[in-house]
Amino acid sequence: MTPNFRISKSLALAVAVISIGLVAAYLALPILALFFHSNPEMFISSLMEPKVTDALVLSLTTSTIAMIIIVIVGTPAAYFHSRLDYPGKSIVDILIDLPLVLPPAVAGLALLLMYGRMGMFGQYLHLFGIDIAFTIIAVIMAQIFVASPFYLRQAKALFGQLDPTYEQTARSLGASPLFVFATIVLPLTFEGLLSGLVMTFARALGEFGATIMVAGNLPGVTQTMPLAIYGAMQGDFDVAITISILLVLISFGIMAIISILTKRRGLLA
Amino acid sequence: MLDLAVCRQLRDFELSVNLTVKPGEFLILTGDNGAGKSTLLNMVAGFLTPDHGYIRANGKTIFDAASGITIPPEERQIGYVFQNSAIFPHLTVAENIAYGLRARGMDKSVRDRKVAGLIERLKLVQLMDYKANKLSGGQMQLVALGRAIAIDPVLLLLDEPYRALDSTVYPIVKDCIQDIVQSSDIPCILVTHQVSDKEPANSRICRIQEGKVVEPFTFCHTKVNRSSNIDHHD
Repeated sequence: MTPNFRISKSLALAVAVISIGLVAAYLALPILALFFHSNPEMFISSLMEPKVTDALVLSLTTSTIAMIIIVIVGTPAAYFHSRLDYPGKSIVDILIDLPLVLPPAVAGLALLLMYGRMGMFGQYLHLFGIDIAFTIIAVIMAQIFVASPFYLRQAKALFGQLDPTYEQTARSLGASPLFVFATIVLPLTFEGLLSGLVMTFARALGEFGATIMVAGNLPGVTQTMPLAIYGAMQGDFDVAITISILLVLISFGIMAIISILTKRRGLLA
Repeated sequence: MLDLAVCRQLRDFELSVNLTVKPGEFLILTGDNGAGKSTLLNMVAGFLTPDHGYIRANGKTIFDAASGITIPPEERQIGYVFQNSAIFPHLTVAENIAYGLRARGMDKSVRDRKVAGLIERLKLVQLMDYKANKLSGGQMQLVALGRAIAIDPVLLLLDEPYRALDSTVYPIVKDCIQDIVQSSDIPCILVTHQVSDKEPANSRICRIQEGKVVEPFTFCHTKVNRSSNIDHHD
């Protein structure tokens, strides 16, 4: 006799409602708590505080610079990586993914040991009067380290999936490799690259662990928004809540953009 | 005139082919999957490099292992239509056909006129502003053909142009290919599994097996002797 796996429709419905409800509630309730602890007057007034504006400006500036550097270096790297077979390719694959699983504190310590005043490379820079640790450059370097996989993984997957006959046809029609890249490869991967880029920006914006290790928590210099939340926890709780709400709004906006981009890509395919 | 003698070591066998195709002539290349047909086209187009040998098209050496000449694909002026037609999905029919002219920096007004002429000739007028995902398999093949001949190629390479076509579109595409090759008087290599007994008089059937031409006659040498072919050069 075969066992009876049939369950009633009403039971299935109940399991669906309860499980989806649990997931949604678990994720949404803590975020709602942030909003319940704030009110518009408090939000506006702490938004005016220099601590908040400094952190906001610093975070947006450093994340934007990190994102631009990742695009400029990462796009050709991902393209050639996906097109070429070379010794050590699988090791490079692992390296690209590594920051996703590496605790940010480890990344921060590693960067410090490399670029700090006593670091392997930093000690020579120090001889020339260049110090990277505990400066805005260290903030950007930490963001690049932890956020790059989001763009690189997306870019190499997109380039890898692109049918090479498009590029070969374009070449046979007289287009130089650069012209092919600009007129065929980029337009066909643009939306995917953009959504990878937006994720990278979001990750850079939220970066905390590596930044505090290698750049410290100096207000107005290296204190990004997540660090400012941490700093404000000791005294000004309202500021911590206001910055958190700002980050929630930005993250929500970013996820909405990605969702729109992914839908558009789905329509194209 | 296409004149070539090439060798390339593949995984399981050595591809070694020596052939000439006259202007206005079809060389119908047939053979099992993996026999080396597409590899041969890719060597002629410049996407693969032969180990030995030479390739000359329209009197110009585009590859010669002995003297180290390898002209990049974009300078060979070869019309290459891939199996999947590879219509650029983000461009319209007209933009697809214009692509090679745009890549060559042709003046827009001249380009538009030339593209309009081709679109009319291929009977694609109603589709000219459509994107590739709105086209049928036969229409895509016609666009791919138009795009390839827009650059006034010295040679046409067609990799299974009839594969995705149903019996109503097949004769249209076939006639169109015949018309193009005859009117532009260029050599054409056509890879296909569908060889009919009514191939036009200007065609020659060649069967490839494990990298060698086995029918109608074998030219194959394990090593290409360049000097024995030099007198074909025109």
